[in-house]
Amino acid sequence: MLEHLSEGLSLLMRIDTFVMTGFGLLLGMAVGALPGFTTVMAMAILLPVSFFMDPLVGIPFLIGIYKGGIYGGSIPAILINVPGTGASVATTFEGPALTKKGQSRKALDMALFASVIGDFSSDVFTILLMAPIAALALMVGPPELAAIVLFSLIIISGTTHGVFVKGLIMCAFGIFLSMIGQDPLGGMSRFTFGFFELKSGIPLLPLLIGVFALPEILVAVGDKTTAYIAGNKSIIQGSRLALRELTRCSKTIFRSTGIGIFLGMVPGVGQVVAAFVGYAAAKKASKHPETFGTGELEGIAAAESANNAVNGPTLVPLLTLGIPGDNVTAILLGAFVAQGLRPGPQLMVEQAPLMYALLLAMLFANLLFIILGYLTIPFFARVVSIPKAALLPVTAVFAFAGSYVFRSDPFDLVLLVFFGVFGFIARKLQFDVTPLVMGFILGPILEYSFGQTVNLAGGDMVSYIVLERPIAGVVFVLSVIAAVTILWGNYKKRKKSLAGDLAKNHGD
Amino acid sequence: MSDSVRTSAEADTGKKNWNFNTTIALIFIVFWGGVYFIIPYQIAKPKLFLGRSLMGLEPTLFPTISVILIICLSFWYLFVSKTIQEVNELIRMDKEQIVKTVVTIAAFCAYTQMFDSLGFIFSTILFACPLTIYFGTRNPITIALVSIVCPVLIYLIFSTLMHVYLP
Amino acid sequence: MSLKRTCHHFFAVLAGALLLAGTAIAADYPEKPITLIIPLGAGGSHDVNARVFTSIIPTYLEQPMIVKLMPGAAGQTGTAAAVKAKPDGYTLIFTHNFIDQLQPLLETLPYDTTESLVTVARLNSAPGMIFVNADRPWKTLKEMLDYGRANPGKLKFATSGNWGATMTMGALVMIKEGVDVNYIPYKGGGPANQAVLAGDADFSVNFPGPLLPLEKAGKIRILSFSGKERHKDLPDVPTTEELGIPGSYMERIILAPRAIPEAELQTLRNAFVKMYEDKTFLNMMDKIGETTDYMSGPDYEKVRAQQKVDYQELVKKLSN
Repeated sequence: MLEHLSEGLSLLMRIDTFVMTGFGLLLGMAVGALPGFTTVMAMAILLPVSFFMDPLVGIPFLIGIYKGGIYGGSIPAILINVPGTGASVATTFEGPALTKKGQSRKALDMALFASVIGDFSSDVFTILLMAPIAALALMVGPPELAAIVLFSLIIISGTTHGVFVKGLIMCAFGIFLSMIGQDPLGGMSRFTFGFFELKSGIPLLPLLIGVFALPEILVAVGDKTTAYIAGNKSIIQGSRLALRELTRCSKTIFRSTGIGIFLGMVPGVGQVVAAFVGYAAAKKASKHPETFGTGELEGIAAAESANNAVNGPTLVPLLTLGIPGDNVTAILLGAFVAQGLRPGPQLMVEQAPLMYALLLAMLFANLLFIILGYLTIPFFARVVSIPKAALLPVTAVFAFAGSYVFRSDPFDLVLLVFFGVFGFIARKLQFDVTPLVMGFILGPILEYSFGQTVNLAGGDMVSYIVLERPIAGVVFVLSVIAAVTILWGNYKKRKKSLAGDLAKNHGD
Repeated sequence: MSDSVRTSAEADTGKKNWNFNTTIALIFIVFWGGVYFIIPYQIAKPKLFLGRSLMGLEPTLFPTISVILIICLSFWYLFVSKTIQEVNELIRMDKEQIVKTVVTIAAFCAYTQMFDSLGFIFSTILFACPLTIYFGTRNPITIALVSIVCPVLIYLIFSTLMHVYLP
Repeated sequence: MSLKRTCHHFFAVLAGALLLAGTAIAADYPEKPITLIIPLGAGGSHDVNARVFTSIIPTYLEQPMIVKLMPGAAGQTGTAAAVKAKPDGYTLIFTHNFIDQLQPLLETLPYDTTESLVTVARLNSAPGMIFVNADRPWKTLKEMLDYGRANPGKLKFATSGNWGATMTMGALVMIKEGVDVNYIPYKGGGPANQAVLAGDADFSVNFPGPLLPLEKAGKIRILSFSGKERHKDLPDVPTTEELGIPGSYMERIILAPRAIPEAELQTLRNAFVKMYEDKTFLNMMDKIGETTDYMSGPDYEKVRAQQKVDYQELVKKLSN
């Protein structure tokens, strides 16, 4: 393997690879920063362009778009509280709070470094342990997926802000919303009330942009201040990230990277779940969990390193079996095939130097991204210094255009406004919308994989899980334990604060 | 003596603590109770497939579970609502804020209606221009930048460069 | 040298896209960009195919073709939009035969695809192949079917989703042979393949592109190939013709609203004929591993009518 690596390295030493990777990174970052415009769309559009390139240029170019796009999604999440994708929802826990404190640049820097560190270590791990990961990934079938999603939902609901039960209600409501439309297995219409438009269900982007972006605008409209952030213009963007602050989070980044790598073997849900679980774990492990939610840099590091660490292992089924796990890998498959490289069990053997060169290109893309990202962040950070009266309409236009381009249906705009108003009211009544989005994203996956498990079991669920699917069984038991722990912890906390209140009343 | 103090304090908190959270919890229970009863009418029956059901999982199972879950949680919410100390910011909005919010929402609705029929560029100019002025910009360059340059730029990026459709 | 060539091509594509949007052409139709609806999601095989041919066809139509992805409700959202579109030749749909002809028989839909849409061209078709994990004992399709008949409901069939392309292909065979199998829906062909490789499911149906490398590596065994002649890389795999079972294909087709003026339809059809003589196009399709068995609009209309009859029969058998 070492000689393949060095051979790959020598193949990679060419200027055009670097130029195009850099170009892809910047392009991806710009596209990811536009709400509603997904990395998948950008990659699909630019796929034919890569056909004309050498494999060692075209594929790194697409990988650049992919990596840049994931980071790009966290830019609007940090600056204007609008997550462009599900993966950057967890970043909104801390990002906007930091921006309001005038530390947007620091937050963007932290997101960049955490992303790159997470991604880089995950890539290294993937290259070294390709075969074991491939074997493990095959063991994750529908029952395991169902158990892991259930476990994540429980962990995530334990990290809500504000009143615990309100978060749970929003999460359940999100699951309910995801069921409108056709049921995932049989295609039966549910809760469409006779509207054909509802038959395809509620699309994610209008909901996501609706509950995050529009309330942000509506709240800002009511604010009396004219700038997006009150204060002196020169300090708005804040200072850059200090090395000390990065090293302080090293433990968190390390933990989140591990979580991300593990969840990267689970097809489909990886990034979203990893970001949340990484955040939850960081909060749990922190000596000062009360600072989370008020602009804690560590929270950004946790979410961003976790969702990027997913990238490496998700490529494994593609490279070893030729099976794309999600849309991004499906496009990469197209790019490989177009170059005459049919991913599959033999490709890693027959074309070893080239394949290792491509894997190394991923590592170089990360290093390049640190430089490019660091140079472009001040440009993005400037967005918040645009006066509110101009920024709000522009945000609204982007929200509408972004919701529309996803599937070009005017009905989506109606949904966008509906969820905007809903999100506004929920925010004013102190309901956190994040659990709603999580329930909405994970609910259908849970139902689908559970339904598949029922089919696979062919009637006898218990013995199927116990005898043939021990991993799923273990994760399921863990979920029950986690649920009980969280409920018990919440009960104790509430009792304590109640006792405190009572004591205060006594004192009066 | 101490007994009487506690009772009065409890009575006091009991009265004070009927708050907006309690009201919302009650609304939730009634609303989701209603949803529970329409489930059978809103979910289509699966087609039979060679005598056996095409899928093992009934399409009604998950919706039923989620609605029952919400109802149970709402009762829990009702139970704890008295002890929640939160501010209902919706009621605390003053008249100016309400007017501004309603106008903005109305603008959103109008924009939704115009978007497909007038096309992206025209509807955006009609939407962004008045809104920018309404939010307090008087500088004509900013207005032009936001309401004309921005939509044209977005349109060009999306439809020509990215090959994505906008009306 | 390579850099120069790369950049050249890259900017040629980008600049072409930009320029074409702005140029006015003397001919009447098309005088503005044409919208191509895809009723499926980003990154799927339709998306990839469309990206290839929409980057070539502007040369022959003298206008760009803009892809409009409208996924949802198993293709119904996009199809409904295409049916409702103005029949002026500026809205087309890129779909496949199962959405076009099978779906209307299974669900009550607010449109009739046969009445409302007409074929511009068939881009290509992909033949279905039945395959099992190599560690399964069945060497031939007959052995597997015999096992299935002896153990009703025991054979697990990983499908690409209910009424998706591969499920219909497999169901056609299973019904004809009277085998009762357990249909397990997956989210697309990729996950279904993985289920077979992992041993979760017994067999599945897919296309040569993804299957050939797996077969070559000895991970799977292919039991049948849809077609009249054997596949050149699989000389030992019998064809559906030889086995006496129905062959099945996914046909990728471009349709237009039926009320489109005859001249416009002819222009579009001609553009596709010319595109099929384009070496770059053929080369690119070959590169993404797709066949280039073009079929003209009028020819495919006949195939379409026959499909309707076949699917009606299939559904009638399935629903009792």
